Amino acid sequence: MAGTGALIRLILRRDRIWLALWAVLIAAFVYGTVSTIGTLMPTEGARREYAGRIAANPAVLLIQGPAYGLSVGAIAARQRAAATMIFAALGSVLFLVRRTRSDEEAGRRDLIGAAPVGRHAPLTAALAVVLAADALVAVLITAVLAGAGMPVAGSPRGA
Amino acid sequence: MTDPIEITGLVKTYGRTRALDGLDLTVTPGEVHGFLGPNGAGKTTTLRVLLGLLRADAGRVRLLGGDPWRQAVELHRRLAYVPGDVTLWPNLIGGEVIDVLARLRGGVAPTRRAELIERFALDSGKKTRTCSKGNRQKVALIAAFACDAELLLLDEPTSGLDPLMEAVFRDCVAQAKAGGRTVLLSSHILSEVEALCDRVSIIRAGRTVETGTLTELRHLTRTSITATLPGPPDGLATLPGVHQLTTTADGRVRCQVDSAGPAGVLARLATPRRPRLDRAATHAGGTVPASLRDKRGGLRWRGRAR
Repeated sequence: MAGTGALIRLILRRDRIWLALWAVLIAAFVYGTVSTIGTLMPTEGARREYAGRIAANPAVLLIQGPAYGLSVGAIAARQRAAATMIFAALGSVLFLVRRTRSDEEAGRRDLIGAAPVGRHAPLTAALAVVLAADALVAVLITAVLAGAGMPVAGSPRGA
Repeated sequence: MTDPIEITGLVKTYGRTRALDGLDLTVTPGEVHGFLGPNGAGKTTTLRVLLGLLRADAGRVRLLGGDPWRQAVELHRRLAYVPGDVTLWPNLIGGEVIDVLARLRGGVAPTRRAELIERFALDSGKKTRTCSKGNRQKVALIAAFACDAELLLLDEPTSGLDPLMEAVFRDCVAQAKAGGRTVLLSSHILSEVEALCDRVSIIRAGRTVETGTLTELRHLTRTSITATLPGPPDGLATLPGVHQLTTTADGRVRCQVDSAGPAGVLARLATPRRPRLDRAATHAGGTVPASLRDKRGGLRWRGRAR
C-alpha cells in the first residue's frame, strides 16, 4: 500500500476537471428532471393523469416501471433514477479502467512500479478516488433535491 | 558487501516462448555494467524481473541482497529505473512528472533537481503530451539521477537523445560511478558501452554468452572483409586468423579475420593485382562505423579494428 497517497494525489491532479464536471452534470440532470416535472405537472391531478397514462403503456412500463407515488419526487425518481444510476456507474467504471489498465497498457505503470510503491497501491488509489467521487455525486444530488424543495424526510424509501 | 545484482539460471517463459533461458548476471558494487544483446534477447525482461514487475519461473535472483519480488517496495527505495520508452502522464508538465516520481520516493533535493534540468536543457514547463521522445526520456533520466539511489537500472536510456544530451548522460553516469553507485546499463549502442562500462555481459536468446571486461572481450571481435578481386585470391586461406573464407563466381571474396589479422590479409589482397576494397562490414554484420571510413567513404584500415 506504500505510495497510495502520492498516487491519489497524482490521479486528482490529472482528473480533477473531468471528475468535477461529471459529478456536476449528473446533479444538474437530476435537478433538471425535478424542476421540469414540477413545472409541467404542478398539481397532483396532473401527475395522477400522467401516472395513469404510463401504466397503460407497456413499453414505458417495461423500461421505467410504474409510479409508486404521486409527489413530484416520486414521479421524478420513477422517470430518471435508473438513468442517473447508469450514468454514475458508467462514469465510475470508465474512470477506473482509465486509471488502472490503460496506464498499464501505455507503459506508465512501469515507472510507478519501479518506484517504492506497493503492488496494489495503483488499484487502491484509483478505487479510493472513484468511491470518493461517487460519494460526492450522492451528496450533490441530495443537496440539489433538497434545494428544489423535495422533502428530505422519508427520502431513503424513495418517496 | 554483497553484489547488488546476482542472477543465476534465470528462466522466464511466456507460453511457449522462452524469453530467458538460464541467464546469469552478476554486477559488483560500484561498477558500471554493460548489458548488451540484440533486440528481443531478453534485456528488458531481465530488468522487469529485477524490478519485481515480473515473476521469474526459475533461477535465483538477488537484488541489493533481497528478493526483488517479495521485497519490491523496500528495494525500490534504493534504486532508480529509466525505461527505454518513457510514457508519461500527458496532461502534466515535465516538472510535475519529476516531482511526482520524486514524491513517491520521498522527495529529492531541489538544487539537484534544478541542476539536472539545467544540464539536460529540459523545458520543464511543457506538457509531456507535446514533448518529443528525447524530451520524455530526459524527464525520466532527471528523475532517476536526482534521487540518491545506490543502484541505477537503465534500459536503453539514451534512445531518442541527441548527441549533446548523450554526452550529458555519460557525464551523469560517470558522476554516479564516482559517487560509489552501481549502474546496470542495458544498451545496444556499442560506443556508449565502450565509453562507460567497466564490465560487460552479452546475452543472446535469453542466455549469457559472454561476461568480462572490455579488454577481455576484445579478443572475440573479428573483422569481416569483403573484397572484389580481378582473380582468385592466392594463399588467403592459409593465413593465420582467417575464417569462413568464401569466394563467389564474380570474384567476390568474403572472410572473417581475428582482431590481430586484418593487416596481413589486406596486404595479401593488395599485393598481386591491386584489388578494390569496396565494402566491408563489422563482425556483428552492421555497417562500417564512420570512424573507419576515409573521406571518400572507403575504408581506413589504419584505425583500430573493431
